[in-house]
Parts: sequence; structure tokens; C-alpha cells
Amino acid sequence: MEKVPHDISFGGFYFSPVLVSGLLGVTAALLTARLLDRYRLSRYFANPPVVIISLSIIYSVFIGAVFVGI
Amino acid sequence: MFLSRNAKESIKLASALVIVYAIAMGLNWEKPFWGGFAVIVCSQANLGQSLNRAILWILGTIFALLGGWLIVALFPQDRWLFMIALSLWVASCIYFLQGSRYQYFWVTCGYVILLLWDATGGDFSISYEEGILRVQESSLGIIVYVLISVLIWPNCSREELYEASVELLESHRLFAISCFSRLLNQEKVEIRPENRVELLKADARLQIAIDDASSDSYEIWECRKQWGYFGVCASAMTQSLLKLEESLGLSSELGVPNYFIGMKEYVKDMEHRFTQIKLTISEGKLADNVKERSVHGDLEKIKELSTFETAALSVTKRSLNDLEVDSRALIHSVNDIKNLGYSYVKYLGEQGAYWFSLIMPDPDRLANVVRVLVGIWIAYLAYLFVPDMLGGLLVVLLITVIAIITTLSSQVRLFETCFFVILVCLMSAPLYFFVMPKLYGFYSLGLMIFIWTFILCYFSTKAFGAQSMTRVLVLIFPQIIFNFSNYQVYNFGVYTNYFFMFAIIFCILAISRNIPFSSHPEKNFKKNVDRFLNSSACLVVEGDIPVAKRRPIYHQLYVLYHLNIIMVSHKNILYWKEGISESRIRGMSKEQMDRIVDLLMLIANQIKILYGIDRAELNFVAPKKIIREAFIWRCLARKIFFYLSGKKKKIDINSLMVGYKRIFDRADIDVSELMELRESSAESREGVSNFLYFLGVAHCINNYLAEFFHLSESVDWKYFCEERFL
Repeated sequence: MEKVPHDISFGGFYFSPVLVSGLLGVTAALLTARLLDRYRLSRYFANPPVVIISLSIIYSVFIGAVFVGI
Repeated sequence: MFLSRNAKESIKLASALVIVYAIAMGLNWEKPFWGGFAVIVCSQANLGQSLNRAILWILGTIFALLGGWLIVALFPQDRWLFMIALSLWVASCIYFLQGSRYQYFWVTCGYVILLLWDATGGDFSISYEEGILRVQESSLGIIVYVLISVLIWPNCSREELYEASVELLESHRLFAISCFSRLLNQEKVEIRPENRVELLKADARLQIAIDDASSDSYEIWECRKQWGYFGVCASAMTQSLLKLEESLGLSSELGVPNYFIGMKEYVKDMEHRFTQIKLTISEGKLADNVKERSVHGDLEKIKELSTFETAALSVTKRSLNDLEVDSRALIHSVNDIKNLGYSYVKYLGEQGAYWFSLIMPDPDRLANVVRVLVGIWIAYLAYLFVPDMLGGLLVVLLITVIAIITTLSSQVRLFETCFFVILVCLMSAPLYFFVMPKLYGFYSLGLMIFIWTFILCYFSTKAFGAQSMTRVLVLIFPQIIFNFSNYQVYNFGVYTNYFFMFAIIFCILAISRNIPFSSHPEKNFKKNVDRFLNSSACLVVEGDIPVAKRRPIYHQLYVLYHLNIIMVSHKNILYWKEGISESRIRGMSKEQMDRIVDLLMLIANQIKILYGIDRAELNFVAPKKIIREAFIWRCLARKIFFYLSGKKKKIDINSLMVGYKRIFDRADIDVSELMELRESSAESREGVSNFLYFLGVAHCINNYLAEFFHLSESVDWKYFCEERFL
């Protein structure tokens, strides 16, 4: 089910949904990177920093579309 | 009340910032942040370093201003030509900063031009007013910080200079005594890496202390040339002692005193010299002038030895004589400091090596230039073609600043830096939104700036160290967000936009840091090791190349390039080693990595000596058959170097041993012929002596190469260089 875009309130402050999904996306990408490092899967990527950025964008869009609503 | 040095320095920095903002806002200047920026950058571990930075900052700003105006004047109407000229300017600054003594000058030159461009909105008009404002505010920041540093809890480096000098001279003395006692007692000398590292650390400490104290102490400034010469002589002494230990590794068991005339007197004299040098610095007594002394062999006894033993003695003799020459120079230099003498004049002609390494192409430095330029161009193209890009030109500027800073140290890890910067910006949010709008005047704003800066400076210095680049970035970024001015605006959108802007900056940097190749420290460590071995392979056969082939300019450039690689490789390898976290080394242990670095340094020393012998006007005089064996050995050594650098198929290290043994076997057979040649004329005498020296050096290279070969085979380089995300 697609979420309706709306601001997110934290203690009376309204944050842009992109900011929230962006932060969650980056966190998820960092966790994934950690796991890939842990199991020595990072060696299969030619340019790991670009992979992290790509993962961050993919996660952000996914979280934004499915959970937050952007 | 007792305050730690860190607390005192944090109070000084916080007070300087408050005063700079007060003056700039009081005079209604447009961008008080520039003054604050200068204060943060100038705050260093001691007064001398701060003054050095301040001077380089101002000079760099003025130079960049002139460069900026020139570029604008040349390309006022064409954005692409303008950008190309700007890129060339930044590229040359980055290239020079990596090999220069005045790094901060080049850093400032590199980014100030973009700062001014950004300030004028990128309209190709780096205006006179903006430039002058920039110089004015930077000068204000520098003057305020310098006055505070001088007047409040001054942290002068004069004492540090004396301590560093005495420590180094004492290390020299102890190192020499330990070598001499083992030599006289005929004990086996084994190279002690920990003592060598201590000696090199003490040497590096002295060089930094000389620079710092020359800036912050009038007495030292008055005789800065003498101190500079003392630094050069002390470094030469350090290198001589290291070489002496290496040479004693070959000959100590032979009973060196039996074969050299007056060895005991030599040792006694040298010990006396070391003590005198130390007393001159620590107690101010003038050292007695000493006479030239050289070690001579007892020819009758040496004739009884095998060629290998003769070669080992030849290397030791040269090391002892070099040590004597360096000790005399050191005595003159310490006496000069007391007398304000002029022996340093001799040294002025020997500064070519510095310029040589500054100008010669170095792949590591070129790669860093490409990284920065790729970052700038991505940001610039995004600014041009992405409508309403967040941050606009500020992104180009910040990318330039961060990229330049990361070229200075391999320890600046992008994700860590990004994390701390965002953390600090998040911490500053409550101040920006809740505290700043409620402030009623400058007194309360000043108090807030003071407390905030003190806390941030105190903890960041504790976490990263006073000279860390991450500390500077962590202190600067909140200033960008606060953007204190008389017309303060508070905008939630602007604040969140900064976060997105930082994200964009770090994304672009993450991409550019891997072009032209990865900036992963482990990979670059290996790359430098390979490059060093490759250059060693090229230089080790240099002596056998016919003179006619050596003449063309391209061959000379080829040799100079490899020589430069040998000279800078140790520094480059240490640079990347610093970036490797000890807890995350894989594929080898820390001890193995340290040993690899030590061995490379030893090999580099021997290759330099070998190059010196090959460059001698009359390099070898020996029977043809021995020369041929020497040629075969060189070819084998070359193959091993190539194999270790990953360029050749596997080769058996034992073949090198066999080749090496063959030279000595042949020399033992032809020893009488060799000695006859020696007696025939003075020139032949020098040629034979050079050949014996070559044999000793070949022996050292052989040993180190064999050890390195086994070490390299036992290490999992593939695992070590494996890419990682974090």
C-alpha cells in the first residue's frame, strides 16, 4: 500500500519525509556494508564507496515509498 | 587551579573566536566567518606551529588572490577555459604541497581562489573588494589568535627544541656506544629495529622542533640558519649510524679491531666527540675542534682474509669514515649555534635533493591530483547542469577543501569524518534553533560561542589530537551552519539543506577518491612496495649498462625517476601505513608489516649506495671473470626484485644465493690478481676498493632480499589488499 507523503513530527518539529527516509536509508546501507565486510563479500565489488552510496539511495527510496511516504 | 594544556589551548581558541567575531561584527564586516576560519586553522599544538601556519596562510591567500585575478583577466568570458585554468592552478598546488616543507602555503593557494570565486557567486569576477575583505578578515583572525597565544599561557617551543636536541644526541651516543662495544668485543651485531625506530623518531622530532622554535623564539630565530644546519648534520649522523649498524652486521664477528689500525683510539675519540656534542647543547660548553681522522686497514693481515671478508671490512671502513666526517660536521654545527658561525654556508649548495624530489613525477602525488580534480569537476558540472542544486558553488568549494586535506594524511577516513561532522552539526541544532534566537546582544552570543567552542575543541583534541585534520573539520563545519553575522537569519530549510549538501559532498568524494585507482591504504601500501621493488630492479643493473647507452636524456630521466622512487618510497609507504588500522590488518601480523617496512628501508639504503658506486667516475677495477660474475648476480637480483614486485613469474631465491656465492668463489680464485691490480696505480687502487665495496653492498642486498622474499611469501597479500566497505 502506498503511503501518502506527509511531514514527520518529532517533538513538535516537522521534518521533511525525504530527510527521515534518507537517514534510515543511510543507516540501513551502513548495516548492510558492515555485514558484507563481516562475511568477506566486499571483495566482489570493484568500488565499495559507490556501492554504499547506491545502497543508500535504493534503501531511501524503498523506505520512503513503502514506510514513510515521499 | 591546575589546568591541562588541552584545556588552556581550548580556552585560548574560544577566546580568540569570540574576539574575532566581536571585532568583525562591530565593524559591520560582511563575512565574519572568514576570520573565525583563520583562527581555527591557526590553532596548533604550540606557538611556533601556529605562527608558521599564520604566515603561510597569509602568504598563500595573497598568492591565490594574484593568481585568481590573473585567471579572471585572461579568461573573463569563457567558463570552460576559466575552469581549465582554475583546475591547472589547483592541480599544481596539490602536486607541490605533497612534497613541500611549506604544505600549508600550497593548501591555502589551492582553495582560497575557489573561496573567492564562491563569494562572488561564480560570475567570473573575483572582485578586488572580496579579495581585500578576505585578506583583511584572515589577518584579523591571525593577529588576534597570535596575540592571545603570545600573551596567555604561551606555549613556546624553545624548551622543546633543547629537549629534542638533547634526546637525539643522547640517542646517537647510546647507539654509537652499543655499536662500538659490540665491534670491540667481536659480538655478532644484529639489527635492532626498535632502536632504529626510536632514533628516527627522535630525528623527526628535532626537525619539527627546529621549524617551530625558529618561529616563536627570538633567540632561535637569530641563529635559525645555524639550527637548520645542525638539523641537517644530525640527520646525516642518524643515517650514518644506521648504515654503520648494517655494515657491522657483516663484519663484527671477524674481529674488526685486528684489521684496522688504531681502532681503539678511534672508538675513544668518537665517544668523546659524541659526549662533547651533547654537552655543547645541554650545558653551553664549546666543543673542542677535532682533527680529521680516517680508519686504515692493516694490509698484511687483510691479505690473509677471503674476498668476502675483505668486502665486509671495506663496507665497515667506509661506514666508520663516514661517521667520522659527519661527527666533525656536527661539532662545527653545534659550535656555530653558540658562536653564530658560518659553516652552514657549505650546506647551501647541497639543497638540490629537496628540489629534485619536489619536481620529479611521483605516481602517488599525481593520483592525488587526479582525485581532487575529479571531485571538483563532478561538483562543477552538477552545479552547471542540475537545476537549483543544493549548496551550489559551496559544494565545489567544500569538496576542494576536504579533498585537499585528505591528500595530506591517509588517516582521514571519509566515512568517519562524515559521521563526526554530521554528529557535530546535529549537536549544534539545539543552539541554532532554541538558543540563538533568544539571545539579546553580543555578550550573550559571545558567551555561547565561547562555551560551544571550548567544549568542541577540548573533546575533539582529546579524540583526534591537536594536529588532526578531522579536528579542524569538526570545528569548522558548525561555524558554516551558524554563519554568525549582524543580519542573522534562522531558517529550518537552510539547516536541513546543509545535511543534504554534506551528503552530496561526501558522495562525490567517495566516487572521486577511487579515481584513477582506489585510495584504500592497504592497496596503496602494496602498490608502493611493488613500485619500490620495480625501481630497485631497474637501478640494480644500472652499473652494467654501457656508458654510450647511459648518455641519452631519456635514459637519464628514466634513472632519475627510479632514483626518486627509491628516495621517496619509504616516506610514501609510511604515509599509507599510518592509514592502516592496527586492529584491522588482515593477511599479515603487525610485526610482519613493521618488518617489511624496515627491510624496505634497509634495501633502499643499499640501493642508494650501489647507485653511488655505479656513478663513481672509476667504478670497478677487477679481473674480467669476476666482473662477469658480478653482472650475473645483478641480473639475478633484478629478476628477484621483478618477481617480488609482481612482474615476473616465480623464481627460486636460491638461484640468487648461488649467483652471489659464485662471485666470491671466483674472487677467491682470482684474489692475487685483484691484489696485483690494487698495487699497480692509485686509480686502480680506488677501483679495486670500489669493487670490494660493491661486494659488501651485494652481500647486504642479498641478505635483506632473501629475508624479504621469505617474508613476502609467508604473507597473504591478496587478503591484505582485499577491498572493504568501512
